[in-house]
Amino acid sequence: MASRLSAARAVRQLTSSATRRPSAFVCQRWQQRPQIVERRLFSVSAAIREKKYTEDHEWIELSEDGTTGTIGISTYAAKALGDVVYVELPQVDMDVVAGDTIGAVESVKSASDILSPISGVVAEVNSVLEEKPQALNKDPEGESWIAKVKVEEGVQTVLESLMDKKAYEEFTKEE
Amino acid sequence: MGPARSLLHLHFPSPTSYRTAAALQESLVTRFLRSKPPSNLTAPPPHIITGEFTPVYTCGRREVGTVTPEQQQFLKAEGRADFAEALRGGQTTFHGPGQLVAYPIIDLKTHRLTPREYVCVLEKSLIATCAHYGIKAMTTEHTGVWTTPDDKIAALGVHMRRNITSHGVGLNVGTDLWWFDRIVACGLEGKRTTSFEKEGVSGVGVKQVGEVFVREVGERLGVEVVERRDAEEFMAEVNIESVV
Repeated sequence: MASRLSAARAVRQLTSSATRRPSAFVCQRWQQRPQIVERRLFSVSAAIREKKYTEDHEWIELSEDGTTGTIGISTYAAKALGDVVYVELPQVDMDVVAGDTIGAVESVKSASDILSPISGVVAEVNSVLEEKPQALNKDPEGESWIAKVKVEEGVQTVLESLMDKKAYEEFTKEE
Repeated sequence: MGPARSLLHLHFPSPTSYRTAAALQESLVTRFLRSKPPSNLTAPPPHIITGEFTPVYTCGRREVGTVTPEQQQFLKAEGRADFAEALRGGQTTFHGPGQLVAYPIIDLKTHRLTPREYVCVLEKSLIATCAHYGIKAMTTEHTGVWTTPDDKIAALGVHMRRNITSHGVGLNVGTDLWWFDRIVACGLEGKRTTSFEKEGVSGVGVKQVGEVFVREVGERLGVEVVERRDAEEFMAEVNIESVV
C-alpha cells in the first residue's frame, strides 16, 4: 500500500513538472526505468541529501528538511579557474529553471557562467563573495557557496541524475 | 572523442559592427550548447571569427549596468563610436578599424583545457603572431600581451558557458590609438596601448594578421586543417541578420 501511494505521488510529480516544462529526457527515463521509484522508498533521506555534482562543476546539497538546495562550484573548478576577481550572484526571489544562469565567476579575464542544476526560487545568496570574491578559492565547497534555491517537486529526479562525489572525482580525472 | 581535426575560420571582409559579430558568435555558441548531452547532435568543429569592428567601446561583465548614461555619452564621441555591454571577463576596452578581433568558439572539454590554460593558449598565440612580424611581446603580471611592461599591444576577455568559449582577443595592428587615450583601458592606470604601426611594422593588413593568429591557435588545439570562409556569406547562409 505504502509503495503504491508513493509511486502514485512520484508519477504526479513527474507529470506536473513535465506539463510545466516539457522534458523528453525525464519522461523517457520514467518509462524505461519504473524501478527507480521503488528504490527511492528506502533511501529518501540518505541518497537525496548527499552532495551531488554536475558535469559543469557545480555542486548541490539539500538542506536537512529537503526544501532548499545550496549550490556552489567545485574545488576542482575553483582551481581550474585560478584567482577569482569577481563573483556575480543572482537576485533573491528570482525564478530559475534547471540550466539557467544563476551567476558567474570571473578570473584571469575569463567569466564562466554558473548554471543552476535544479528549478526553483532563489532564497538566499552569499553576499560575502561580492565583497571578497577571492574567498571562493579558499572554501568553494563550504563557506563560499553561491546561492540557496527553494526546491520544487521533482528535485529528486534531477538529483538522482547527477554524480556523487566518487563519480565526480572519476569524471574530473578523465577531463 | 579526440580533438577536432579541422577548424572553421570565419573572416569579416570589411569593418563590421560589434553587434553583428556578437550575433554570429551567439548563434555558434547555441549550436555547441545544443550538441551537449543528452542531445546526440554532432558537436560542431572549432570556429574562430575574425574581423575589424566599426568603433565601439565595450564593457566587461562586472561593469554591466554601472556605466552611467553620461559616461556612455562621452564614450560615444558625438556618435563616432558605439557602446555595448559584454558578458566577457575584463573591463572596458575599445575595438575599431585597424584592430584584429578574434573570437574562438570552441568546447574546452573537447580540447581538454581548463579556462586558465585556454587563456594561456590565446596569450601564446598572440605572442607568436607578434613574433611572426618581428615584434617581441610578452605577458606580464597583468593579462593581455605587452611589448614593454607599460605598453599593451593586445587585450583579452573571454566568456565560458558549459565549457564553450566566446569573445577573445583584440590585437592592435593599425588602430588609431587616440581611442585608448580617452579611457583607462582594462582598468589599468598609467599604462599605454601600442600597435604594430607604433612598433614600426606598417603595411600589414588585419586579414593577414588574422590568418597568422588563427594558424597559431589551431596548432595549439591540435587542428590539422583550417577552412576559411567569408563570415558575411556564412551568416547569410545560416540566416543570421547583420546589426548596424
